[in-house]
Amino acid sequence: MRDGGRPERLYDLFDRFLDSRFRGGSFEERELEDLDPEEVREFRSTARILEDLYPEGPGGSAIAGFRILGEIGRGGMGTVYLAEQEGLGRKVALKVLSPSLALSNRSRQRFLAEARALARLKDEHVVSIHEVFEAGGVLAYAMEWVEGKSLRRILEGFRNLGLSARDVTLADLARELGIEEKRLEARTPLQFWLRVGVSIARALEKVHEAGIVHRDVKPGNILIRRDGRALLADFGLARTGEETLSGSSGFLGTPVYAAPEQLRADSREETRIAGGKEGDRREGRGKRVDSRADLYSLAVTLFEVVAGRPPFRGASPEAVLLKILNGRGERLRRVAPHLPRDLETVLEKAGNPNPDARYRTAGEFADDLERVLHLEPIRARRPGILRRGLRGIRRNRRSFLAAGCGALLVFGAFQAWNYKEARERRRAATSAALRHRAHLELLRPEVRNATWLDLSRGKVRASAFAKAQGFRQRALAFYGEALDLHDRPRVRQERDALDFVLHLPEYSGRPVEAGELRERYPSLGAIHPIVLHTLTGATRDPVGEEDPNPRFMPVRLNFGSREDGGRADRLDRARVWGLLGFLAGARRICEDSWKALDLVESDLPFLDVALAQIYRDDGRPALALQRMQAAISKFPDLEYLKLDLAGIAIELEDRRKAEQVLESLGSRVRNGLRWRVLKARTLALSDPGAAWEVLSSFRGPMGRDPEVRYARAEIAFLLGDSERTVKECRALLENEPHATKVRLLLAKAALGLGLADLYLDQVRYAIRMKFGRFRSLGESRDLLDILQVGGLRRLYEAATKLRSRPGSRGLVGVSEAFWRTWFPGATKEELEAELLREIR
Amino acid sequence: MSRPARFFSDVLMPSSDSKLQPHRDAGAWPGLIESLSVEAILVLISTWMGRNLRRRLDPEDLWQETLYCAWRDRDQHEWTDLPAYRRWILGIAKNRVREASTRMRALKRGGGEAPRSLATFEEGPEGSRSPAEFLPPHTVTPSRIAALRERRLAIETSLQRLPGEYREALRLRLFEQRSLKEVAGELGVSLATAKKRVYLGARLYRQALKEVLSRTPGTGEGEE
Repeated sequence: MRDGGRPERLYDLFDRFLDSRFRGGSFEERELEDLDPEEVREFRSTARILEDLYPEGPGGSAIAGFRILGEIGRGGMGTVYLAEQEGLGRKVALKVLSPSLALSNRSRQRFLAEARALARLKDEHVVSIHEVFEAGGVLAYAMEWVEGKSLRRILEGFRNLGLSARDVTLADLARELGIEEKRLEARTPLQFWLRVGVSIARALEKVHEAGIVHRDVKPGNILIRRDGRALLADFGLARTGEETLSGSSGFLGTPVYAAPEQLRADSREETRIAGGKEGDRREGRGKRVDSRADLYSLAVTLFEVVAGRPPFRGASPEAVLLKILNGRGERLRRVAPHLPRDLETVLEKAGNPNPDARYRTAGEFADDLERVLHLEPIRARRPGILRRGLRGIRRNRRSFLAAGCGALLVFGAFQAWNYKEARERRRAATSAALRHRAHLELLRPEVRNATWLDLSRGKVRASAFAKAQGFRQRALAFYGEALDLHDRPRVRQERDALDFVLHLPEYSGRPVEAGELRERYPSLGAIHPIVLHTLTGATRDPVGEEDPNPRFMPVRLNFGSREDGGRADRLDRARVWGLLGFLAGARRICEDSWKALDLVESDLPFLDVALAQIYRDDGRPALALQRMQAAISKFPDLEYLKLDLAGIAIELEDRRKAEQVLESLGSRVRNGLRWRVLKARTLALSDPGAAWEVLSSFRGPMGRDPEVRYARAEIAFLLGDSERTVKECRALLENEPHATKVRLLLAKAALGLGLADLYLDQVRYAIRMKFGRFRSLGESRDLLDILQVGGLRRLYEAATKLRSRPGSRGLVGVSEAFWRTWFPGATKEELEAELLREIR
Repeated sequence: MSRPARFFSDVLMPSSDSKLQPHRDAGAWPGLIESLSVEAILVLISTWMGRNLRRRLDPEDLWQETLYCAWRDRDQHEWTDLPAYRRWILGIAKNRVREASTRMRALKRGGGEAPRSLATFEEGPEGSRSPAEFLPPHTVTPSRIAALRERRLAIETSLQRLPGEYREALRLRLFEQRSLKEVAGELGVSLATAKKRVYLGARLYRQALKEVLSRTPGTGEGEE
């Protein structure tokens, strides 16, 4: 292997090569041209590792002038590969039909004829077919390679994020597509989807004019390119209806999106192009499935896209099939009441189970979709009572005219009011959903860690901080959209508080006038000087800080006397200041403010999460449990909160509760390290030996994870292995010197081994801690316990008395001088010696 | 092997990009499983098992259990692509290892039953159906299992010769097919370091495998 040279280039190439095999990424042989011959030899030799492990992969093989780069997907009809067309050097998607389909000769000829017809079709919304060929007994065609995602993947992406169709915003859509928002050319997601519908309907119009029926329109076959353009792909070309293809009936396609007539189709049915050119009839045997089936499929697809699910649901596949056949799909506005009525009408027409009741052509469907998009009157009419009533009116015009005019005026006014009310309700509902999205962004574990946990250790990595800021910016955007739709004071407060926190670095090192802030953020009201000082006084970038920062200083906030305003005003101040503290990681501010609101205030979405953490740090797990359960009920999708709940249950030694919570979590979380550690700690409540075995099996970086180490230290102590406890604790303290829980455990283990000096180190730490810098009451309790376990009773009792004084916070406020009162006049060394004697 | 037409449950599954779900087709399934690189999966299973469990069970046994569960539960997986299916299979394998560990510990404490290799199921109580009956063909032949075992041992021996950090990187990237980002996250290193470890690990592994195979009779490996 070469030293120096460009080894990083080899590493990079190899990585991309692996991605091309495992994930459909791109890798081109010509990239090796930059390497010198020895490097090429080395690379090829290393790359053969894949042949060792995956000997039948397609990598490196070629089919008829197309070099296979990787597999994209595999289906029943064949496999799609990413390939490069040799000579042209362009990427294509190569669909190779499975030889096992065993097409008859006639079928193969028809397939080739239809594929070539499609290859002649050039439309900006149809994925082009470059070439169709037969090689080595298999049929294949090369399609345009589209950089983008299918609607299927996009919808799955939203589902994975827990977003319903209503919650999705343009920002979400742009992010999922990996493009800028402006490229969507829409003001709302619905507008974008309508544009997609129009594009695909126009594409179908062209396809039908060419004499072809797609027969498999569905979200998986509609691609959205990186420039926001929609394309129709993957025509069901092997659609001869031969039994050898389907194995059972003539039906091909994905059933939920298939028209009823497709499901009923005779296996020998032929297709006819309805509304197309005469003379396109083939073989003239049966005319059941025509181009209108594609309109049906597109209607069902659009339904799913805008409503979040297809119109047919059932307890069993048979139930779903019956609903499709009987045309008993759900109405769009029953599933998604916020959608326009006109859209429901258009989709009902296109998706009518009776083909004769649908639009005649895809062009008509596209026209009506465009009318919905531009808020113009549609051509489609709603069936039902009104239609029948209008027919009656037309027959008796004169008598209805007079009565009708007056009624229409009243009706019109009522409808206008009703429409306005409904529109306001929709806006409010959407605004609430956007606010909830903002909450979810701010409650991401990355934000929590960068704000509360890492900050409490005094160090936040630059990358973690930047990531957290990114999520806060997203939350700010959601708040903005929510306020645009429906301006509510609470939402405005949350937005302004977040904006202030995001701009804290601007205030770094300078005093902030309360008036300045009031002008900029009127919704926040008057902010207490202590709050301001606490927030802005520590505005140095926390990255690289080693010491706990003043955000953990104790404060005594005065929310105002009765003269300053009524109870509502005081509560409002507590709410706002607590919110600022929560968002900025100023724990004391948050704690003082929101503990005052505990049990009083209900519309504070973050309160439960914050108090759960605070009570837990205070060493009050019972209260923390209540709060965490309340937090989970508000944010059931935040699975990390359930992990916290399990941890609290373990602290309460409630094994059943812990197990129940852990088992309720999804597989993604269950594969994570934290879940496994909590599972082991739960096991330790009944069988520490078994738990030890589990934790001991964690190797490498997992074994060095702080949570794993701490769990091992605890369990080792339970099993009486103090040496192991000492070893683990020491390793932990190298990175976390202020972890008082670890120091307490180390102190106990040191005593168990008779290591007085090691124990004394922990005592020294407890005494020398800068009082007033404790992060929590729990910390001060840990330090007291360090003294207590060593039998330093006098010191412990004195400290306990101090702690129980009203207004005290454990050892907070007790200066080092106090300790010297026990040994007046002693030097530091004498003090330590005295302590040693106490211990021994 | 043909199976009865199961039109409704096979075909009427929504949200499918493929026209069929290939992992539910008994005819296509064996080829699909082979394309996952069974040897690599066996090595992973062996790693997860740990020394204690390996004394009682072979990884091949747990692989057979994995296959059985994958076939039995095939309706629970919606096909998207091969890598996703492989991840699903690996998840099943991990659960099998976990369960086997639990059973073994229960046995040690005096309760529960010993982990049983799938082969013993065929000698089960009268009237019970062997899980092997539910498996498609090609997956349970003894010769196939023996060949897999031999190959797995060769791979493991080769991997053991690597320094721990390279071995770990290679296992995650090549055997578990994780992305580079996931590998770096798991190892707690930068992307560049992860990339380097994977590449160097691959080189060392190849050299080690050549040596191991050259000493193993009848492996049929050719020279580079």
